[in-house]
Amino acid sequence: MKNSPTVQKDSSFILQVNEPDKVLNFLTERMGFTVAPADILQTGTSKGNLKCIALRNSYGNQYLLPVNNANSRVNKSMGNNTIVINTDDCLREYYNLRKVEEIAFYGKPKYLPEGLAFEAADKWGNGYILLEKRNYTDN
Amino acid sequence: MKNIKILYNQNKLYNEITSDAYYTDQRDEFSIRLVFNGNEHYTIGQKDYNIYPGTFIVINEGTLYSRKIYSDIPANTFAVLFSSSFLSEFHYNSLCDDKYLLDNPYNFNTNNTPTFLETIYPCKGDMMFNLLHLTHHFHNWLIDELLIDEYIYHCLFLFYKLYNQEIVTKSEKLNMLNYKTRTEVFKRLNLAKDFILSNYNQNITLEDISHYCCLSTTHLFRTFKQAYYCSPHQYLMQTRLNNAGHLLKTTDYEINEIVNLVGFDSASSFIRLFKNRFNITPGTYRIDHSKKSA
Repeated sequence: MKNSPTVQKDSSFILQVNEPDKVLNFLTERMGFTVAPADILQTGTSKGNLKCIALRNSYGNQYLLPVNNANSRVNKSMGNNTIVINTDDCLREYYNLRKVEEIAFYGKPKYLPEGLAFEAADKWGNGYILLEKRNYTDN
Repeated sequence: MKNIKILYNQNKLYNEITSDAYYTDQRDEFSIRLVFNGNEHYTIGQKDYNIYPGTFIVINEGTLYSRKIYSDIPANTFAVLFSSSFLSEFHYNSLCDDKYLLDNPYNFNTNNTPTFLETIYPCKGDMMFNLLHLTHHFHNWLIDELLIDEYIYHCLFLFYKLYNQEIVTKSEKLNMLNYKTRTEVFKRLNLAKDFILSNYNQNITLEDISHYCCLSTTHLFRTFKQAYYCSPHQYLMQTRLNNAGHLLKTTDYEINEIVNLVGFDSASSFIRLFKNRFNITPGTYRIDHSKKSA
């Protein structure tokens, strides 16, 4: 698994992605994300101000997706674009995403100390890690 | 209430919720069997097994068995039955490397399915998580069979991993040079372990366990410690405490009631041992878990 790839800001993650419009479609149509009611937010980063769309999923994850152009200086300077998405059912997501043409997989789901996860990438060059966190101390 | 789902590849899922049932002279495919609530009694040959939440039993293809449910609270039982072809192919794939599989993809014999030690295994960690997901999808009849199959595949994958940990690795821990002696001693130790897991709520002694598994008390004590890193008595206490933890999380029974149900003599010794094991009192443990599930 790659290193933690996203930037955490005020308990939300700022997604640094290629083709944000397509990623927005992917996250809302395939991954069950919804656009938060106050849809355009301003957030400050060390690299300047970003206009962002706030996205949430049923698991309680919130992400800020910059609406800047993917080639903007701010996006480029913030490094790699792999998104960690928490899920409550990793194998279901793996199974469902296998039907999506735009997605390629890096291997099968793996059992990790944190839970069950798999890696995938979209055709625009963004990576995804879907992680089902499991609390092994409870049982 | 009984539900059975037969998949396109003849794998089966079986769920039954009942407080009174008896099935005699059963013969099935290789199966993993567990309960989420209550308990279920199995008889395989001359041996009796009680399955409680947190454990499962495996029964090989063709083994003759009986099972009985008789409890005050309805037992929620679940079983995954693997078809001969699915199991044989999985086993074949687990033994061969990728290069060999490319040249010989279908070189497995469905009439020669693998057999496993029919004993009680711990149902925890990833195995438990996957089985919980599987039951959730099982009750959702609209779900795609291929997704169910994905879970069944993972259950078998995790069982192989568990088998390696619980049977292969533990038998190798026994300090005996002779393979045959080691295998026989390990089989008897498994009987001892199954006896404890099946009767943890009874007043059992080291002599009872020793008599059941046909090992002298000193031999049992010494070899049990080699395989399981604890004495039979410590194993019994751990089993009682784990089951008490389950009851604290899933029921609203009084502490004194739980003390009796899991086989402790007194509430004070239960609370002391529980605190040593979980670093928390039973009452706080229950409150913490009710907060988490709220």
